[in-house]
Amino acid sequence: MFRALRNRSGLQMSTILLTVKFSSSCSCPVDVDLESSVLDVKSTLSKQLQIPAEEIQIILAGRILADKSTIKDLCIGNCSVLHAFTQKPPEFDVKVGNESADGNTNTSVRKGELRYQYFVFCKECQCLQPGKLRVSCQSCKSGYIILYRDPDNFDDVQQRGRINGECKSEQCNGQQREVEFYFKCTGHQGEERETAAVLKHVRPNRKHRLCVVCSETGSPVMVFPCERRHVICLDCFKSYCVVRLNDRGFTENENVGYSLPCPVGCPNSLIEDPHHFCLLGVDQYERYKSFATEEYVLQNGGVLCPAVGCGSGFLLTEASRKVTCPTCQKGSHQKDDPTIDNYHTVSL
Amino acid sequence: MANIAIQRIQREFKEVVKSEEVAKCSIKVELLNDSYTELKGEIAGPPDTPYEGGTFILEIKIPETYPFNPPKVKFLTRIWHPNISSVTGAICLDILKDQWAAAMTLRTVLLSLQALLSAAEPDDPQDAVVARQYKEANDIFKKTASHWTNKYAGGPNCDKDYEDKVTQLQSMGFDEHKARVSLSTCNWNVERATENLLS
Repeated sequence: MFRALRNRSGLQMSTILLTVKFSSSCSCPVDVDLESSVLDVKSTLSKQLQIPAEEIQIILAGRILADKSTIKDLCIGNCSVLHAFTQKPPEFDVKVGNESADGNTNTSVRKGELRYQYFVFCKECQCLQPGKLRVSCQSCKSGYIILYRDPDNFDDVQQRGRINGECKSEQCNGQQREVEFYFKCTGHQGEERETAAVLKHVRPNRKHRLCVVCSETGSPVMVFPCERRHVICLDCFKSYCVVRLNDRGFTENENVGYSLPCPVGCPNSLIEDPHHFCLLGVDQYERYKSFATEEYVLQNGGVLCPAVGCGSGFLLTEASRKVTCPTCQKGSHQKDDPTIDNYHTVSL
Repeated sequence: MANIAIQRIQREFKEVVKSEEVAKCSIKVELLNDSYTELKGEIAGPPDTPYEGGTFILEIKIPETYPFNPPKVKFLTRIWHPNISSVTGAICLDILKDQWAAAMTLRTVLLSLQALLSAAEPDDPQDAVVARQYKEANDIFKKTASHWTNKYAGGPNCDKDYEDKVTQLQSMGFDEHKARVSLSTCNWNVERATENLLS
């Protein structure tokens, strides 16, 4: 994946352009070397803005960046936007101390280890891409918010109100605010608030676990939510889904929708988010969606129109032995079509 | 065949070849073509069963959709067992049907079949005649299974009484195998077996 990204942008650039936003009215473009540190960026800003470098604090994804981390470590791409605010150094010491003390997963985003911690399905790129977690203030929607704690798991990120932070924007002025998380695709430069669907079961395969199907140890992989956390590589996942789709072997579940369990057959292992099936490609995903709809309609007492080329599903509102398909009735059929009554009326 | 299937079969083939069970001659697998779609399996009849000492040959067909769907397996060696058809060799075993899981392999299939020979499930039969005999006349079932093992799978236990009955029907002009099936079905009652053959 990494190689693919590099090839697309041609040679890997050694400098990138960043925009550091101080407020809605003040932002500074900075050209930085990938090897340069956050402190270097601060001194550049300091020269441009005439503010002492030690008073500048830069925020990325809800955290204040440490002076010594390098731009490369941050895993940010060209044209990224960082947020900054000014603060007198003594008040800030506590925050920096906090950084090394907590061994939380997200802290190491700074160290670059978790380069591919999250994966998203990007509609723009039409493929799986490494994703980045971004945060904003629920109230002013800006990125000036500093988290009180890092998220530990997907629930922290996906359920609202679990994590709060201090928002440094002009509007919120240091107030406690609810944090909003969202994911962005790293594969293309989108707008600042553009989001992508995170695939929570797709994870980097750090422990080199074997795919239950082909026994390879590629990365990333799908990790099923079963107790044993079975792993399947993405190629096998696609084949698995297509085979099951051909057999109409998906399971309709009232909580997670039309889904598949772990291929080993573990209980409680259904994929919890249908976005994962986007990985099958456009055509198969369309099939998935129509099968899912049909299954839903049938399981909820609905019927499917048997007319050739129609197949619309509809739920019945009144108990009647014969109903007319709402789609076909409104459709392009001629009124005097002699077959219309026979074809477009569903007998129950 | 799909890449995943080929890759898997190659790996599983090696797994069987290297396994302890092969070392003990209890299971074996052979490739029948280069495309890994057809294999020949072999299992030894488990000890302390009527199948002891016999070698049972299996036909294994790998579907395109392997390992998401189970391999198609049947007995080529004739066998007298409640969960295996005495006519076609078709097997009734959950893991070869809806209980199949992608993590299972050729080795686990062969071992499961061997286990099936040790522990029949007469309440979920493939061959109703055999299953009835298993439940209602278990002694006759055991002797019959042992006799079939001797005749078709190279087992050591020769039953003189059963041999004679088969020869008796053969001398009346019936085909040897048909005679054996009929006798086995009729709990080795020669008169009923003859009637059965004539009807």
